[in-house]
Amino acid sequence: LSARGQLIHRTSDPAQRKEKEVAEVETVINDYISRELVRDPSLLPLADGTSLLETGILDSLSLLRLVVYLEERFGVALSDTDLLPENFSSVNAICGYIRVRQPGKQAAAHG
Amino acid sequence: VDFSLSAEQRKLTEAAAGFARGKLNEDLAKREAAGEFPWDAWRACADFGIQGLPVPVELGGAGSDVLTTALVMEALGYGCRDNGLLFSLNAQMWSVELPLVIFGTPEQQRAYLPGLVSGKVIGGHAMTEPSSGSDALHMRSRAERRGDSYVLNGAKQYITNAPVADLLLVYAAVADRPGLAGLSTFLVDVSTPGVVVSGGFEKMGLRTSPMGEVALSGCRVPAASRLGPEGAGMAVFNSSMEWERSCLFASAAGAMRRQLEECVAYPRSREQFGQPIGNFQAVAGKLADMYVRLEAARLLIYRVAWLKQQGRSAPAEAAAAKLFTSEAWVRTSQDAIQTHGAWGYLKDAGIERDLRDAIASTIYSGTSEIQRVVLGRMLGL
Repeated sequence: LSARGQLIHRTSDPAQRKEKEVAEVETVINDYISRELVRDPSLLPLADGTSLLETGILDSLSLLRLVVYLEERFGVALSDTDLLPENFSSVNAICGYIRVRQPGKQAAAHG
Repeated sequence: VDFSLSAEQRKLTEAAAGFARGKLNEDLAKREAAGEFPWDAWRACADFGIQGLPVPVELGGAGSDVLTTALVMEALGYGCRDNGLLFSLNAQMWSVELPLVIFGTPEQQRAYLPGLVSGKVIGGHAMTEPSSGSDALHMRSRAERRGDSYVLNGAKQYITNAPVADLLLVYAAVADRPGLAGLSTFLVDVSTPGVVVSGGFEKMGLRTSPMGEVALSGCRVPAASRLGPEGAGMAVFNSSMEWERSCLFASAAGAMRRQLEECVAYPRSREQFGQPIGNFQAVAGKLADMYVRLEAARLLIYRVAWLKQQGRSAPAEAAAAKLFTSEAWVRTSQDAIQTHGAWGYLKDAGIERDLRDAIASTIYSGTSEIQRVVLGRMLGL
């Protein structure tokens, strides 16, 4: 079972399903960063819009760890050229990036 | 898991080892003592196709897959005793050519890759500064955008190939973007006004691989020379370090294989107390340990090469391969001297050179200590 298969809980209503999927991606990534990468407890709970770079949550090493987690959890291969600050600036930014990179999503995005 | 080499890989590695033995070791003792860069050997490597191995065919290279490239570099390390030459080659291939292949625009690739592949252009990776190395966030070099150009100011040190380089990948922080978001990379021709390269560091080992300092003072480069977007510096750096840690040490594994073979030959012919010294368990045990280190290093390198070929991120595997192989090479080099006794300690034997070269491998591309930090962080510590 892929990571994505575990992540997405299917509902009959496409709109509801989409909303739940979006919320769950955010939750999974926020949970991982909060649990594994945040070293300063005063930054918790972590808002999805909080800057991960300015707060120092992400540095060059924690970024590498996050990349490996994202590849395994969401079944995506992250290109070296995509490891840009804007793609990892916040939980929201990471989620937006992951959605584009997930298998099937790229094809959909490109029609 | 299939560990067998293809017929093509076998042919290529045998050819590379033969080429290295025949063409790359000439006058090594003299060149090493003088600290001379081997220009002829560099060009011979280009003619053989070494510098072009990881570069796609459409960009002038051989387009070899990662594992095949690592196998060829291992064969080169086996046949070539000039570890300095191999280090310079690897430094260019993994931290100059690959960033160009991965991040370069078609114009940048056309401008530099054919020269790098043909041996006519030499590249260096200018990251380290007097006050920062692996800690890139504290880099002091600055890039200030002025219209269609950037003005670079700063100082780089311990830059491999700098004294012979035509092209430098220079890292600098863009003035108005803080922290990681501002770190950027620039392709800088050494002939650009404002670039001053000094060299001539007297090194313990890798003496045929020149190392220098780079001063950037009001160095104006076109905006088109930026590699990747503004803020891509950390991505470029992480990418090139992962490639380097994954593949550079294949050459060290090749050297360890050569050392093992020579160490097996010597105790079979050297006699003490009426028998070959290889009959003594203390000697045989050293060789057994050398064998285990070699095989373990190869497995780590082959696996990380395979992961990279799959397009997977492999920071932990690359750090493990680098850490283990470099430290194994130091131990094996010590054991090679010990196995040969007094002869091994003499410069004329050429055995001690490997130890001086191997020690550097625990420092460059991130020290052993940094690799352990990386691994600790990857383990969640």
